Amino acid sequence: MDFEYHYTEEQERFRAEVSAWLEENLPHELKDAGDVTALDGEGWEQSRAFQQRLGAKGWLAPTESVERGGAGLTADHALVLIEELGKRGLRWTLEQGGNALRTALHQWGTEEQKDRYLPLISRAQLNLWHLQVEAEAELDIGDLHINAYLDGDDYVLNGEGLFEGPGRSPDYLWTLTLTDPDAPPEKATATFLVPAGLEGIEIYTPDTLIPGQLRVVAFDNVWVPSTCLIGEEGDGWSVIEDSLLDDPLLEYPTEPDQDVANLLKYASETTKYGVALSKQPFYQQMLMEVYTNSEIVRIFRVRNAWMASAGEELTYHRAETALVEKQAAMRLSQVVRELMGIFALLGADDPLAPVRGRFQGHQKRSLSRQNVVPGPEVQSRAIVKHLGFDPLEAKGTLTWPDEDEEEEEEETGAMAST
Amino acid sequence: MDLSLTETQTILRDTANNFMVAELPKQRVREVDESESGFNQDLWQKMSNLQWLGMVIPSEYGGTGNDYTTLAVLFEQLGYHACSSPFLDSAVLSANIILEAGSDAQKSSLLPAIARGQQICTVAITEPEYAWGPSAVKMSASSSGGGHTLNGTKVFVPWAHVADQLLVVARTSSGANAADGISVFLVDRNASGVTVRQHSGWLGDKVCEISFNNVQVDASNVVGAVGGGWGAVESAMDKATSVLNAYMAGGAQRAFEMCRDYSTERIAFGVPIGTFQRVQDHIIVALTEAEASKWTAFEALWRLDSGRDDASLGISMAKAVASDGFNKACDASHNVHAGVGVDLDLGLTHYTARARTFQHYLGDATYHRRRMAELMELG
Repeated sequence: MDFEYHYTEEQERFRAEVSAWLEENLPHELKDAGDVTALDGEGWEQSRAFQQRLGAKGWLAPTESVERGGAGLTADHALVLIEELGKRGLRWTLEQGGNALRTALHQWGTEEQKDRYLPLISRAQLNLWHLQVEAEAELDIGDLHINAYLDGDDYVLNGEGLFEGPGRSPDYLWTLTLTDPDAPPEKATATFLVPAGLEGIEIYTPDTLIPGQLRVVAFDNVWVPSTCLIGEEGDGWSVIEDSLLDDPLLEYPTEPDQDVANLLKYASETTKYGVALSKQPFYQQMLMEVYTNSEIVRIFRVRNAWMASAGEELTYHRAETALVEKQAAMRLSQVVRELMGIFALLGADDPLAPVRGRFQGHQKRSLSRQNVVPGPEVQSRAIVKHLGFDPLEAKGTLTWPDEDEEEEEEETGAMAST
Repeated sequence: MDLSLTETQTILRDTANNFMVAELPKQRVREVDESESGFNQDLWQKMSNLQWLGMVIPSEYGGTGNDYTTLAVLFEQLGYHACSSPFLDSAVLSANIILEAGSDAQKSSLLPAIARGQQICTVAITEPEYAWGPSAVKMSASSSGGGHTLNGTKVFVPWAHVADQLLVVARTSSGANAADGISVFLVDRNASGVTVRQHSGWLGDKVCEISFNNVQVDASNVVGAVGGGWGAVESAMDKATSVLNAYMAGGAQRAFEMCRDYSTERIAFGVPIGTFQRVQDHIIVALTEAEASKWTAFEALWRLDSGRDDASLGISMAKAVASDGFNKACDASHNVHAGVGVDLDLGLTHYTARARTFQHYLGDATYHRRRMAELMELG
């Protein structure tokens, strides 16, 4: 076994090129920006400008063809780029919602849609907000409140939903809609890439723990050209499901968990009763526990990236990783409070805040990561589904290996006992 | 990056699985576990015939010189089938101490015999205070007539009742560091003054208390330098721990599979219990703990075989994960099985007993988290 990538001399030369370019072009303000959700309005504009400079080189979409705004790089070259961005805390530049749309367009889009939108996504010239749906989620059409019906050549959209995406306003909204409530769920929906400036669209931002994390978009008789439909009517959920699985390369971990690294540093530098927190057995055990949790997530991601690159089928593996990551984030949040005490809750503007208030942000992010729409229940359901249990099947309709035996038991009135 | 098994490893895994299915069905595991010695000579001989016992012993000493990842592939299968034997203690832990610190004569006389299964060695480290670091080694060995005299007690020593030779870790002097002044002595199990008593209880492997009462050890039976033995012991413990982690991951995997399979067979309220979300939650715990144990173990083995500086950190982390994870996987499996889980014929308790025992062997999670902090220079 080999848990490390190895690179050719030519790939190492590419690394040097990337490194030199980043040193020259990375704005000072972004060098320690961390999670992009922590950026304020000005920070967001800077980050987008930087993304556009990356995009101009094709590096935002390293494996996309040059014609569609990418760099046409091999997967190994792309990994070099990802590693160099990761070293500088810039992985978020690649983890934009546009990746999911890119996947959807490649699989379901028309050639015209690909030619039009892929270059814009690749160059960060299309700011996208999308309806909140998490990977491995299952469709509940009763929870889908945006409807669409065909009227002539256009669709008319009504209803509202929770969206997410960067910046103060989107260029496009990518949404799932209910097109036929009477159809079976897997054929009842359609997805649209909707220009955000169309008449009848209203956006408002609810007050949330992390400002701007959620947006409510309301559609009031919005007329959308049918050319905005991605895939066919009825394909909506399939388009979404296919698009939510990131490129496995993007899962490959290139740097340690920054929150854990910050906590270890804090514990080494902070004393209580005259002794560094990191040297006190009680705290030390907790520190090593959260470090180990972060390492398990890292190693699971390495495994997933390898499985994908080796052509092995990933079944429960992504959901398992996501579930473990969410549990690790919540445990880290608890340990931060144990170690820092009430100081963990201080914001960046308080002079007593540890690590420039970043752990206040972590307290909030751990909740938002744990309970994005919907929560870790999605991953649990996905895991058991991949293990052969379908949690949403109606009772009595399952086909189990011992169905005959079950019938026999019912006939004889026997009851299994445990 | 390549996480696949090599062709050799794949063949070894399949061979080991087939061998265990044929030789060690769960009824046999129970028979062996409940026997007085807990040791099956026939199985031991067959494992020796397969050349497993010499896998990490160099060819010049009669072994096959495989890497630790390959050995761990085998140990994962041994754990999956709940195989008990002195393999780890004799052919990994003891062999490595001798290999690293032993004299040419000791290597030549002992290693080929260990590789063939003709000599069983075990290492006596832990004492009534029960801890694994050098500071816990307090039993003294005093100089006498050109050799040493051992007095004291070692506890929870695996397989001492069937061992031919004991590697006794004792203190010959005290130094500035706890690791200084520790020596390793090769002692015949039947030597005058040595008394071995099996511990009784719910234990996965047989472990013993050994009393040393004025046991004379010739100078030629000191393994390594007098007072400088801890380095070889710690290095060998790392290697043995890396392999034990894979054994525990294999056991955790079996505990997971047992509850997964049972939940499709057991009917309650007219449906398989696997349809209940509370039951599914237990299955997910068993799965994630088994997988975390496996992948941290093999990542650490890769570090070890690659000669990386951070191998010890990875091994300790993996042991902390496996010590907790094997137990959690078994607990979750018991939760799914409910009452039937404690039926000794079912076989789940074979794994639970091993999880509880190996949680402690070569250091529990608390010990290894402490060691991780030291290795990361936090402690």
